[in-house]
Amino acid sequence: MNSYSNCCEIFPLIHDWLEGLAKPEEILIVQLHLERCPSCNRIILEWQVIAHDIAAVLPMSPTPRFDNLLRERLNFFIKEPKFELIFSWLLTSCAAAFIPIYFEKSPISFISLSLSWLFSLPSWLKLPLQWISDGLQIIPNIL
Amino acid sequence: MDDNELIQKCIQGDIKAFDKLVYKYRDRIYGIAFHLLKDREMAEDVAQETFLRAFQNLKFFDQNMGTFSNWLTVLAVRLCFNAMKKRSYEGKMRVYLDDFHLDECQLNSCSENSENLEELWLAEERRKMVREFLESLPITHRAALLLRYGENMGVNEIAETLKVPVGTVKAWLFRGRETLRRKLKEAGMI
Repeated sequence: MNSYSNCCEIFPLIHDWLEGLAKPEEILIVQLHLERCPSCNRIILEWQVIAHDIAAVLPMSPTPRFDNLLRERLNFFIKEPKFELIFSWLLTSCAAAFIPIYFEKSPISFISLSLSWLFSLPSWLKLPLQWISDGLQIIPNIL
Repeated sequence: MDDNELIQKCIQGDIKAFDKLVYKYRDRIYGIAFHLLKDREMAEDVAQETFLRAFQNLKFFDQNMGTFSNWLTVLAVRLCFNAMKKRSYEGKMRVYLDDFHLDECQLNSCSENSENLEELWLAEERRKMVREFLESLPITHRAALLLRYGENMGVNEIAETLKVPVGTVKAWLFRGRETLRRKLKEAGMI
């Protein structure tokens, strides 16, 4: 206990005690020290004043435009997904209705035609090879 | 209506409930951002971003893990530190301390503790200095002090928020508080 007779040495313990982090034996040491040390008592009071002042200076009013800007950003955030969804559905429906008309086919025949194109897709990949082999056959005849 | 009720209403799509939450915490969140970043515009940006992120993530807020106020504060502090990483602020600009006025709330709180106008004036002068000295501290000390005394967070909570060991937070608090006390003492305000 003698090792803590110096105020500077006991400071960290006082700090822990104020933060509620001190162990029972440390609490006892601090309390014994505070009983006979007016200077440390004064420092604790000063710390409390500072803590109170920090709490008091923390809240600050932003500029008046803050609320409007936040509202704009929030509105954008809220409305955007709904608007996008409605727009994309509208566009898809228009396309679905317009494309068969454009190709002068009934919707069913258009769908069957689209499916046949789709299924013929793997054969398209072979086309360039076909062209090369055809070309190779034609070139000797030309020469 | 308490925060949790307002949050539930927000999740159900009631924007006015979120407006109430913004109104309640706006000054504190902006205050934290301003004291950490020392830049009025950036502080407003960060405060707005905090509320936007909060709005987007309200459904993930778990009231068993802590209060909404703390959740919001943690969000704001992390955004402040991200903003600090993106740009270097130190010495970039001095903020408009002079145009700060006592607001009604502060006057009321002062009048409760002060018996006369002189005490009120002294308390306000001291607070002006605390604000000024607070800004001269390193950001880490400032953040620890603001979270501890402004937001009443525990040392462990602060350590978790700032992602540093508890011992480091204790050291920051101790040094920050001691520096403020020494400076106020030199200025004859304490």
